[in-house]
Amino acid sequence: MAESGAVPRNGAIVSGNAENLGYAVAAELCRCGKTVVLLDDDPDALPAFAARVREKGGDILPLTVDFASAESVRDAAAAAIDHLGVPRFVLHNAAVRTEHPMADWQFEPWKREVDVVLQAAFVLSRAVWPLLLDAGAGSLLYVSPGSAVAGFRDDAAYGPAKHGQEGLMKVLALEGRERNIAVNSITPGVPVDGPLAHTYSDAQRRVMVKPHVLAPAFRFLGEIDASFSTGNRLNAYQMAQVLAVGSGSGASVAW
Amino acid sequence: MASIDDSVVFLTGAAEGLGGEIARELGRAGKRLALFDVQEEKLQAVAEELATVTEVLPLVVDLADAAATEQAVQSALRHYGTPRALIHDAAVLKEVAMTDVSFDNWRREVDVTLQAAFILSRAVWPGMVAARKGSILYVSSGSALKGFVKETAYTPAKHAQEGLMRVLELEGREFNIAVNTITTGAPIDTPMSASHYTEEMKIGMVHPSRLAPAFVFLSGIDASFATGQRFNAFQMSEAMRSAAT
Repeated sequence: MAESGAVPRNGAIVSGNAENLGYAVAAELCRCGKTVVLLDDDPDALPAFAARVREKGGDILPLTVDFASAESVRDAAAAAIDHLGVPRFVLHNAAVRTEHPMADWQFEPWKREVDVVLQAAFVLSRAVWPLLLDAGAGSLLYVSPGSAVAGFRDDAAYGPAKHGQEGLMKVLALEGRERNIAVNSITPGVPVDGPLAHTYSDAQRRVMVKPHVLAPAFRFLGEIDASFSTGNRLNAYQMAQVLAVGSGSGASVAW
Repeated sequence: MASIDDSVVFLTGAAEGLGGEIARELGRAGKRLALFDVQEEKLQAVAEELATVTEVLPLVVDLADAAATEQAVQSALRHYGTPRALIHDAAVLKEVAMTDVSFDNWRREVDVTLQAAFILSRAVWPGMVAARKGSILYVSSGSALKGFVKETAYTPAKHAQEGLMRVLELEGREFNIAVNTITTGAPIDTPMSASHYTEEMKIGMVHPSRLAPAFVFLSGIDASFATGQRFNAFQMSEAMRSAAT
């Protein structure tokens, strides 16, 4: 999968820590020697996490972002590109999800939730897109839960936003194909033992996994291009399980 | 249980094209209308034409402007009360590659489709809930399910609108509110299609008035008839026409 005539690119942009997945993916990428720029909106957790990664030798730059602000996302993307050069892998995982019946939604909170997912996906992708096309290889990945393809009650912001993000993926997959840019979405494929675990049913809790179990799938997909997969909705758990079997490790490493 | 005037319909994108024909068909069917569009002259022309057969409240509004959209729908609610149906037809489609699309244009296209759908639906929802009936209909597209090159805003917006329908149809069930989407089902000769269709896509093109009967019918349904569906306006209208002869 080497890009012809180009210096191999090692940089990754990871946005957001929904389901605690973003940090787990960033840690995995660093563990595997990638240079990571991690965008998140938590001004306390983010630097603390970055410090722990650096202690283990990881190369990570944390950037605090307001994902609902196009300007903030644009500035962060510019800073990331300045730090990395052309990224090889861009993962958009930022999301906020609150549940309200339609009658209880107020416009500003609704808009904020939609913008954190969909507007931020667009702004981040728009920033890196010309660079990826020019480089002739790269991987752009959007986290896509069930709300991206089905309806759920009280989901009038998050659901449409994730559906919209899925649509953006489909368009960019087509536009990026001839330049070998992989654009996909990815569903966790399994309940994630993260901030939403307290909402799970007993059945879901029995099968839930820690975020780091899924991280190898993201690391793998950070190195693909369109010749492997583009325009698809991938399954992180299935991919991570196959990778674990293939590597003989049997289990992922939490860094 | 509160009551709704079964003759009242709110319709966006009414100034021309498919929306204009839907407005005419609704007017001929005796519906009292609130018509929303940004194109003032064309909207006024449609309103004047329909004023001879029904009551029309034209509302010139930029549906990409959240505050203006909220103000307009509240005006319509004050005038008519809760409508029997909300039909969101307004949309903007500019074919621009991701390398060339500006944020402002992207934002505008998404807001006219998704943001306006939310604001309008949110405004009519409590009245429909109280009345235990109502019909909300979003005009959809192949772009709501598939990707197309250069539809960097339109495809995400239509996908998102489809997602909103999928959420609201679940929530509306217990209140008998029908929430559906509807595709044209056939290429239609409108200003939007003139700038968008290839020659191949124009094969079989029909006048948008051929699709309008379906909208009149669906403006009178509730969840007990159908909800969460993706209707085909051409097939439905042709079937209705055939059944009537």
